[in-house]
Amino acid sequence: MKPLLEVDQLRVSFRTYGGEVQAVRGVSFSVKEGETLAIVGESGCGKSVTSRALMGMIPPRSGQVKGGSIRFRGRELTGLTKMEWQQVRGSQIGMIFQDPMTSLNPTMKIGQQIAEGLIKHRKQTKTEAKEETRKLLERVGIPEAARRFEQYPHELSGGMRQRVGIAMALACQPQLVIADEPTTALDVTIQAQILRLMKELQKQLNTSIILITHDLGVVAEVADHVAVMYAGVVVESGPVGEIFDNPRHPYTQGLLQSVPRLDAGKKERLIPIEGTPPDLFRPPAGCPFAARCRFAMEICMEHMPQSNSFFNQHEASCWLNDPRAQRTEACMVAGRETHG
Amino acid sequence: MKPGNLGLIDLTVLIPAELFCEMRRWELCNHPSSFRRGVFYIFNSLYSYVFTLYYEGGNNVLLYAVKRGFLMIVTLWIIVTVTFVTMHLIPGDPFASDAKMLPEEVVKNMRAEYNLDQPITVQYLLYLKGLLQFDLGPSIQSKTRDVNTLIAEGFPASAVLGLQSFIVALAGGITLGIVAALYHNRTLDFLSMFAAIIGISVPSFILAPLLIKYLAVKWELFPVAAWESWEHSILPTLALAIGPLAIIARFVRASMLEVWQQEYISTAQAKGLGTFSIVVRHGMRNAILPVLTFIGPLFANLMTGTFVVEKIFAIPGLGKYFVESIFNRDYPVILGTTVFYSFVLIFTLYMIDLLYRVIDPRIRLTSGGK
Repeated sequence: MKPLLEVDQLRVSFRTYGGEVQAVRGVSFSVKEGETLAIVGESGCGKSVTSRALMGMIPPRSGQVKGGSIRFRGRELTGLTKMEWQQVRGSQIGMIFQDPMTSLNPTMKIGQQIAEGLIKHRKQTKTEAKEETRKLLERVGIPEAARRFEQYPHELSGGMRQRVGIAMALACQPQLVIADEPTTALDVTIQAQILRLMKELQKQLNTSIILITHDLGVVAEVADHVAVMYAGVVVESGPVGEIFDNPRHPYTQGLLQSVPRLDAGKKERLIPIEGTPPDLFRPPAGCPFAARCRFAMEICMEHMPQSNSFFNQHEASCWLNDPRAQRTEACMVAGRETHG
Repeated sequence: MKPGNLGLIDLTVLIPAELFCEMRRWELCNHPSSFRRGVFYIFNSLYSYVFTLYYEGGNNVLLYAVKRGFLMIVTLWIIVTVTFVTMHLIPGDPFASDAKMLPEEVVKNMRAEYNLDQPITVQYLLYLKGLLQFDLGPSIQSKTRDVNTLIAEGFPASAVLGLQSFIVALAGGITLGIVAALYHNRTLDFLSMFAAIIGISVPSFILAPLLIKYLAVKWELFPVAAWESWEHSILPTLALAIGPLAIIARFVRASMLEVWQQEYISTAQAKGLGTFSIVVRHGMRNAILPVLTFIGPLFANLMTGTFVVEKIFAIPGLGKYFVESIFNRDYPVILGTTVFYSFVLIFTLYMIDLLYRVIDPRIRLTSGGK
């Protein structure tokens, strides 16, 4: 089956007073219909910039898509005009934002905020859009939709507001929804509700979801595929089971080791990844993780590793996986046994 | 000190202290409308004290309106009192210049005619009594008309001119500000902000003659002066509007730049809306809130007439009475114009408070309630 979205070697840069920041430096991944791809990584690794690039929402004056391609249903999206992007946004690709406290307009009734997209893309009249919005509100689990339609964001709880955010993103039934840390700003109990709702709606509408997150717990719960990003590149990607059970990149391993596990022994300590990500004004020539990597070799500092493929679309870019590297497996296993 | 616990003693201490500062500031202002500006300062400081006393209660609009109405009367009374006292503190009286030329007996009779021979407390009570019957008293300077007539004759011209320039300033300022914000740090932004700086720095008494010289005399597009047809009102409207327009433009630009960074603007973009509808539906309403504070006093100032522009364009408005009454020590006119201006100002501020509520639903009328 042909993927719904194919991103190939996407590069995004920002001009700042300090020079050019290469926020995204050649990211590739694909999303199939009805599938959830989680993009994982720490702050500043380029997850959000990638998602903005997919929406054509890189601020035109400071940022720029430098290269690569974004193919959505076979259509190239890079280089679309402003008007063409407006037709894509909301109707074909929807977006759920991180903080429902700030992502809704405080001076507009929530019903109107949802109906806006319908009026724009479906050419509906106000009454039709209102009726549709009422159904949408019920669909995302907001009772008394008729009353809620007339309310303002400050009259709703955080969880309710995020449900409104979801209704807004799904209003025109886009084939792809990008959720940028949709549960980060919410209570843990509400997080679970929101994730369940997203999964449920995905099943009903056969929507694909790109989930941007740094929460591996969320990934384990909802993702089908995972792409791990570090310093503007995807260092490892693959099916969620493979990534969790058999991580091939030391960064992924480090991420997994820094998360508490229920099945681990009581005495086991969490292992943080030492150091900080590299400066993206002058990205390193070699593997960006080399400076923090426990297994770094000479070549890691000098050359960017090629991507190696493993079982079931599992790919990782690490010199340890190169056939020429010695004691690869032993080294990895040793690392996991001592620390994992 | 908690503002809620302000007692009568606190007020008696604070008000004179505040008054002293205000009067110093008064002296420092040599602008023709400094008298009104002083009234505005005093009003503002009193307002904040008194208002805190009445600031508790539910979110009931009617109750709120009643309280505000009561406050309005109290505020007006304080303003009348303060004006009355300061007015009599100024050296001289309405007949100071006549006293040198006329026989003593005549001056005495004239003073008696206007109750100026009575003790000041009696004069004060007599004035309050008239005020309660909506009678602002006679004008000493123009013997045939009383202050009520002066206002009734002057206000329509001032109000029409004020309203026109208010609308021009608001519409132009908002448009210019939004354009500047959308083209942030680009040519259009620099151009409009340069124009705004010019608009703020050039006073109306420079601008008005320039407008007359070029638009009226040289190119003969508009009449030079007088108050007859609609065309006559165009130049004075422009002369009055450009200053406030520039200030509003700068306000709107600043707040629009801030609003444009908000995440709900990204949300609107993600819905696929065009820039125009994002500006109109999501940006403008939020960006206008900080401007509202400025609009209230501006509206009151424009509506009650301005000295310079009305003088230059020979408009039979209210503006001149504010200034001339002080030179002439025309006590009833000083008081009458002050009361009238204060009334318009307080009423406008009340309307602005209601408008806040309409534009931003998060704002409650009172601090109490939920």
